[in-house]
Amino acid sequence: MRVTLERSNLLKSLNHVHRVVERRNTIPILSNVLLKATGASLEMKATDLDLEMTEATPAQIERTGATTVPAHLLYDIVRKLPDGAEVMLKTADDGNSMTVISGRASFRLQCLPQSDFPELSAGSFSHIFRIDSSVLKHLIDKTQFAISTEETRYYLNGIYLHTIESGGQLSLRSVATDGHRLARADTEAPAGSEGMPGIIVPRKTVSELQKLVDNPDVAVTVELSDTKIRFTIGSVVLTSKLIDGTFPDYQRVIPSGNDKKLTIDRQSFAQAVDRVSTISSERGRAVKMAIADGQVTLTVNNPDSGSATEEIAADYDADPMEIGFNARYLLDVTAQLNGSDARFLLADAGSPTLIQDTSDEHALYVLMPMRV
Amino acid sequence: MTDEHPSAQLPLDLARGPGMSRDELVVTGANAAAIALIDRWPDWQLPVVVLAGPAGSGKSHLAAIWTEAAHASAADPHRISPDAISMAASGGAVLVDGVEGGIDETGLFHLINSAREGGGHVLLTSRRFPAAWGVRLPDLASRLKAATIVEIAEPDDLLLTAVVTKLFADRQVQVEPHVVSYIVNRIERSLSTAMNVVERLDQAALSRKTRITRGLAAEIIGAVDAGQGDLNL
Repeated sequence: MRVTLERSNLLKSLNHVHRVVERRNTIPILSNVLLKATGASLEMKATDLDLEMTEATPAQIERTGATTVPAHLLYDIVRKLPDGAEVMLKTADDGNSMTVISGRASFRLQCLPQSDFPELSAGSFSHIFRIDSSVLKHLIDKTQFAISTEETRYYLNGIYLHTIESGGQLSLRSVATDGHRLARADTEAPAGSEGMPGIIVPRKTVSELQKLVDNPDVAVTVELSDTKIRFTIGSVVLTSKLIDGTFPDYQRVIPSGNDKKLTIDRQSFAQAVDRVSTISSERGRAVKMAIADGQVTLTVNNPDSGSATEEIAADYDADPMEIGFNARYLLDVTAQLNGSDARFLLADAGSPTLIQDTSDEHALYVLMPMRV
Repeated sequence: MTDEHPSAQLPLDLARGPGMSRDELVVTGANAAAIALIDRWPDWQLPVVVLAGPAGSGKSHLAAIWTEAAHASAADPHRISPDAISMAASGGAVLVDGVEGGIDETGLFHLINSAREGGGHVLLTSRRFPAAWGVRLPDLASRLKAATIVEIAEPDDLLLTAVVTKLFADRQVQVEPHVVSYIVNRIERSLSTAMNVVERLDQAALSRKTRITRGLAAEIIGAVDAGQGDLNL
C-alpha cells in the first residue's frame, strides 16, 4: 500500500474512528485501525467488537492494499504533524511495518495483518429510514444525560428508541433512565420507521453518534434490526450491536396527575441551586425546596460545614410543600431546557416530579425526590 | 420500619411484574406433584382440585398457568358470582384463588356441584388444607373431602436458589452466584421472604447506584430480620 493524502483529511477521519478503540485491549488487533486503500480513497475502520466505525477520505493511491496499525499511535502522530502537510503512508514489502512520512519526519509503525481484523457482521436490517441530523441530535441530547452507568443494570445502559402512537400521530421516541431520573424526547416518526422494534442503543454508541451529528445539514440514514443498528452520516458508517434486554415499562413512572404547578425562571433557579449546593460536602447532596405562594426557598444543610439558603420568586398557587432533590440532577435537567422558564409538576415529597420545557413540548423529564 | 441507609434518593419504580409463564416455573421436589397435576389438565380424575401451600410457594404462578391453558375465569372466594357457577355448569373452568376465611359457602357449594354435573373444572388455592377452612355447611365439607388435594411443600434449598435467581432475572439484574447462595443460606425458608429480600435489594441497589454485593445483601437481610413483624409470613 502506498497512499498520499492531506494531513487535515486524515486527521479528521482518524479523530472519528480512533475513539472507538479502547485504550486497553487484551486482543492486540483491537488496538489497531484498519487502513484500506482502494479507488481514490483511504478507508479507515476501527472496532471494539460491539461497535464499528468506518470512514473514507479522498487520497491519492499509488499502490492499493490494506494493513492495520495502532490507532491511537497513528492518531497522535498525525495530530502533531504541521497543519497543511501532506502525509504518505507506505507499507514495507514484507507487510510487517508501515512508514508514515511527512516533510522530513518519518515514523515506522508495526503492523498486524488485515486478515486478522474482525468484521462486525451486520446481517440484514429490517427497517431503514432517513432522519435529519439535527432531529437525531435532539433525541440524543435531551436524553443522554440520564443513561445509567451502573454496569449490572445493563438494560438501562443506553437510550431506548422506539415508535409510539398517540392521538393518531406516530412518533419516534428516545427514553433514558438511571432509576433516579428519566428523560424522554419525541419527534415525528420518519417514513420507514413504522413497525420498528423497540431497541436499546448502548451508551458508547450514543456518545460517538452525538459527536458525529454536530453538523446540522446532513441527513442520517438509519438501518436497524433486533440486534444491530447502523448510522450512515456522510462518509462515516457507524454499526453497533444493541443491548439485549427489555427496557422497563417507563410510562408507568411518568406521573399524569401531578396538579401542583410551579413555574420558575430557569436560569436564576439553576444558578441558585448551584450556589446553595456549594455548601454540601459531597456531590449528590439534597437541596430542599420549600415551595409557597409565589416563592421557592432552597436550603442545603451540611452537618460538617454549615448551611445555605436562597429565596427565588416563582409562580405557584397550590398548597405549600417541601421536597428534596439531588442538586446535580436539578442542574442536569435545567441544562437541558431551552425555555426561559422551567415548569415543575409536583404531587408530594415522595412521588415522581415532572419537569417540562416551556419552549419544547417534545421533551419531558421525571425526577425522583430525595428524603430531606 | 425506618430504613436508614446512607442514600436518601428514592428510586423510580421500574420493576417489571413477575414472569408467570410455564417456562419460568422452577420445578423441584417441593412442587413437582402440583405442576404435574396442572400440566395434566383436562385429564383430571376429579373436577375439583385444591392446591395448598405456604405463602409465595408458587400457587398463583401455577394458577396463572392453568388459567391461561384452561381459559378459566376467576371467582372471588367471598362472593361466588352466578356467572362463575353457570360457567362451571356449561363445562368451563373456574379459578378460586386465595381461599382463606369468610368463604361464600353456599356459592362454593353450587359452583362445585355445577362443575360436577356440567363437566366443568374448579381449581382452588389456599395456604391451608380444606379441613382447616372452618367450613360449616356439611354438604360443602363433604364435597371438599372428595376433591383432589395437592400440597406444595416448603421450598428446599434448590428451589429457593432457583427462585432467587429467577427473581433477579425477572428484574434483569445480574447477581453473582455466591451472593445468591449467601442470601439462600441466611433467609427464612419461605418464598415470600425471598421475594421481599430480592425486591428490597433491587431497590437499595437502584437507589445507591451500586451492584448487588454480599455486603448489601447482609445489610438488607439484617433489616428484614429486624422488621419481621411487618412481613406476611
